[in-house]
Amino acid sequence: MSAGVWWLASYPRSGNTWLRALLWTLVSGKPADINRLSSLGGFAGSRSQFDNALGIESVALSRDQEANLRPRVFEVLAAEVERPPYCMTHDAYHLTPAGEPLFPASATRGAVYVVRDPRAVAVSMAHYMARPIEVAIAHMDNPDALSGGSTRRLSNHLRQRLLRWSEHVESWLSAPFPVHVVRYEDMLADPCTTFTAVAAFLELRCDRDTITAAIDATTFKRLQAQERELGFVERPPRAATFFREGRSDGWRRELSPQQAARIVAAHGEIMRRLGYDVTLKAQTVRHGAAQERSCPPTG
Amino acid sequence: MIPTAQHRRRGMNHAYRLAALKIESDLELPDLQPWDGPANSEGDITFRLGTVPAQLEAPDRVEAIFQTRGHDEYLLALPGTGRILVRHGREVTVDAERGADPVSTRSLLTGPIQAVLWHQRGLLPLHANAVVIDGQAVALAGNSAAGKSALAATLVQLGHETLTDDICVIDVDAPRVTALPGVARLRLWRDTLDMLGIAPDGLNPVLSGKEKFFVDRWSGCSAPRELAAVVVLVRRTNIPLAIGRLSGIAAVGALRDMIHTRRPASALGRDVQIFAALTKMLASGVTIWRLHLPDNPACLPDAAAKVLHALEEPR
Amino acid sequence: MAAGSNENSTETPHLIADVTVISRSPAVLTAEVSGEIVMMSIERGSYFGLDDIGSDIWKRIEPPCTFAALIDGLAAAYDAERATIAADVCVLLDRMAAQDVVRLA
Repeated sequence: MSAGVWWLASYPRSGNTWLRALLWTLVSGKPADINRLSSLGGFAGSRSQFDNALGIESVALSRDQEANLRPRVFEVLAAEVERPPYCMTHDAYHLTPAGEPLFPASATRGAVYVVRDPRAVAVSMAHYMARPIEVAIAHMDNPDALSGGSTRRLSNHLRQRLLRWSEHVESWLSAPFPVHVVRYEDMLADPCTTFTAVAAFLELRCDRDTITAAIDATTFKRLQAQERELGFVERPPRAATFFREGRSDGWRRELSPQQAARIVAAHGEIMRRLGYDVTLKAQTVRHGAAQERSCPPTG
Repeated sequence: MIPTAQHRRRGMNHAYRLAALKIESDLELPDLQPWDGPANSEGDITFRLGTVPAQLEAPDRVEAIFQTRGHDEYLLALPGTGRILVRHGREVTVDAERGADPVSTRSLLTGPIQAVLWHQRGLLPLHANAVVIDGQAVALAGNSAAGKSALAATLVQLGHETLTDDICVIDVDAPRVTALPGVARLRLWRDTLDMLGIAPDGLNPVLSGKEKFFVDRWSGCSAPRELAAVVVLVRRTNIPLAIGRLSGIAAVGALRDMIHTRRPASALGRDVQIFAALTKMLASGVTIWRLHLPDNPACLPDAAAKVLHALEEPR
Repeated sequence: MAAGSNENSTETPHLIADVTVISRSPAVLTAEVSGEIVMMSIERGSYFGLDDIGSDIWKRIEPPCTFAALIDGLAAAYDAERATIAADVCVLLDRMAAQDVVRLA
């Protein structure tokens, strides 16, 4: 019996997959296969995980019944898995219709929350949804935004609540258990320091060499190459690629000044709190692309 | 509106057929086929409205939403629905909450509760549709979102009969391993109907708030059929369509994952019998296949063709 | 499930001598399916299978026999050095004992 679940949480398109690939490499000792990341500990929105854990088909339940039972699934997950599960989620930290936290504190060990500049998220989301950027910006500003839960077809995914982007961030930052916040931009700029801190938070005993090797095995270019060669089961049919660009400042070429300003107007307070420069303008001048670096040599 | 326990009538008003069994029911269960046998024959299974306690006395297993005792007692307690007690594979008692949605309750009764009944009766319900191909049953197994009904509908449009939807009951103790006839009406989501060119107008919805419909136009096969094969469907977004044969531990493991309502079955102490039943199925020559299905309804005709082609191969 | 790194493992290898008696564990159910032995742990309900060599070993330990006798039998049947067979089988038996598929006395 483990001591609880580690949540790997993020708003969609914020670098969660890269973090999981790295963790998979650290935990298993083998280079990550992007199509096997679910073996880390599953996905909080998985319909089959729900059905198997509770012994009932979620399709036979109403929306509220399904939502209210999700905490029970996580309790089963925490109780029955031998080693700590690292369970991925895009849900905001929120209450079920019955009024209890979706992620029960009693079944939780802690969370790693990956956050990314919402201007970059908007661009990435537009590509992923194959829709205009306006649609992505509106989605990020919609308090009722959901992932999964279509009524026209049966999805593998349960209904997950995203809330507005800044509300999503705020909800995890104020969750009643330890939360370690990681910025996607820091993962890119200084992966060694960033992942060392994540490993320490997750109580993984990893030396510098192991972390360096894991970073090298999961560089963005490698993940992109894997996607090209093997396909990536998590990419929806509409998106051309999942691992698209992997830069921190690409949004400045793709957002208009008005679009960027709208995002800052909607989410500026949280952006400032996270250290994002809200005075940056969308423009064609590039301020030196963030380079991928592996760990400096020991010394 | 579902009558509560206060409104229990003397005698049960509705009778249905489930394989060879007669069900007598206080509740209307339009999913099931009306009873067409002798009117005065005794019911094999009863569905009654009544009082169900909050707990079993001395349960062996207590889980989040259900409890079990021995091999014969299962109690489901579901906020928003009420409590349902299933005993000896024969008696189902429904204690509905005030305001419970009757359509949802029916869905539970003909779904997970039906599966529990079969487990208690010593048979093996798979999470599968079945169609009849060359006179034999072929089960199409998979999780809820795997596409079993859509694939079955595609095969039906090619001229094969449907044997059962969602629950395929296997009898390994018959002279040949047999699949029993079940609910033959297919339940299809809007996207699948669009792909098959069927308009949803006039079709009855399965659940409120979801675009899933009963398609009544196809009559099904109503006799048991020898089981030839089980095709396990795995649906993922970006995989190529492919079918492959499974054997040995891979086959047994894949089948085990396809047991309907597996966790309650395990709680009811059925693990040993299920292992024996699965290995017996394989020993008797039932072939097991895994079909990788991309997440795109347009590939269903090719998928059906692959299944038919694979089954033609000599064993 | 991904395996953890060795420093997180608490298993110690079993000591297997020539006179150690190898027997089938009563804690598993078995069946033969297309020549493969498939098993279920009665306590945990988990399923697993034995590969060719594991299946062969399983057949040879009913009735129970000593490690030496087992290796003698395998060496006669397989075209490999006795010492190599002994080393490989030792590792395999250790894993099978850890899963309570075989008992070592």
